[in-house]
Amino acid sequence: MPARLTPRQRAYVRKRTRIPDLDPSETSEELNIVPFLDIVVNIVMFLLMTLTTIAFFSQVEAALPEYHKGGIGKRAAADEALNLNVTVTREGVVVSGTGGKLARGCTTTAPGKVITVPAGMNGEHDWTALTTCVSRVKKQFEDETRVTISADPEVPYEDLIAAMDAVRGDESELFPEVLLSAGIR
Amino acid sequence: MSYVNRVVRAKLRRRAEPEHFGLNIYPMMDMLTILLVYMMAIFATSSAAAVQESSELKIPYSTSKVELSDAISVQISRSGVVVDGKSVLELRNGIVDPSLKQGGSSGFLITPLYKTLGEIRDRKKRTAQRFANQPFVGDVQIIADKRTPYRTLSEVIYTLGQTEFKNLRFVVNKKTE
Repeated sequence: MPARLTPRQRAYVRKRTRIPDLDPSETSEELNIVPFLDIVVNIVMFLLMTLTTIAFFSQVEAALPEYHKGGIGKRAAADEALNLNVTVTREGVVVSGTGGKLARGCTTTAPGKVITVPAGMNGEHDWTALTTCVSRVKKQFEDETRVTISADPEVPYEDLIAAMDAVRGDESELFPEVLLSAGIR
Repeated sequence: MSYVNRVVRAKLRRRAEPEHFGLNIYPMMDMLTILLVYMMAIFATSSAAAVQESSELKIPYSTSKVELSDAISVQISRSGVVVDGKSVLELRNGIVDPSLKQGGSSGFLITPLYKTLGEIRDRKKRTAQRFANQPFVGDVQIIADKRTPYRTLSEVIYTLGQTEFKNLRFVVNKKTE
């Protein structure tokens, strides 16, 4: 067995044992999943953001008044109901019921053009006062849960939602069943 | 030459396997895939409205805590009314053109909206006849700009009522304490 290799043999050994310079993508035997991972991360981020946006929304429920055919017994009972109406105007809020329009203070009724909860000097409505007013009504009619809300044509939708919040109460303890009417006074 | 081949084989045997020094991202990918599937499942079952606020559509705030429920959506912005993603009529500063209403300026029934809602109602009723678990209940989700005058809102609501959509769900921003 020869102890040393000749230059030609050494060159042959080097050639056979040389490590080829591979492209980085060729060195790994696995599929490159990094781009796929990027896409997945982006989709997850997008979905998370959308989910957060949706979580900030809630809904206020209302219904339309329904026509009922007259009936002697039931009709008579309905006539004795409160029929609470809340009308939002530029000047303030009018609270009325079967007995008439409520005067300021919400303890007595008053004839003519009455604004139960007048708006402030800058035209902003006092929704806290409206809640106080309807809670006084609620004390007298504990079983009543229904209120009909209407507004003048120029009243913005924002005020309507605020009125619904005010008559419903913080924990829906006042008048949670809201009906909307066309606002004809 | 056989000696040379033995030397070559010995050298090749001695060569260490190249080591991989990359971070193992498979567990992370598994986690992300599970998260993705979970979120897509939530979205598939969710009835949440796709609400995009803009200068044309500013949604009012409310103290209501009622979660959004499934219903057809009617979007009233400053410039138009969109039903289930389809533009139905244009508004001028939130006001409906009198020519689009039955009875002109004093009318309440918005003709193009009535037609579109009627088609949706008929489709939903046909579905309700075929599938007992999907009854027609007349729920509608109203996404309106906070500046919309009550007149326009009542016209839309009146038209909804005429097409048997009587349960109104106003989409609002949750007021945080």
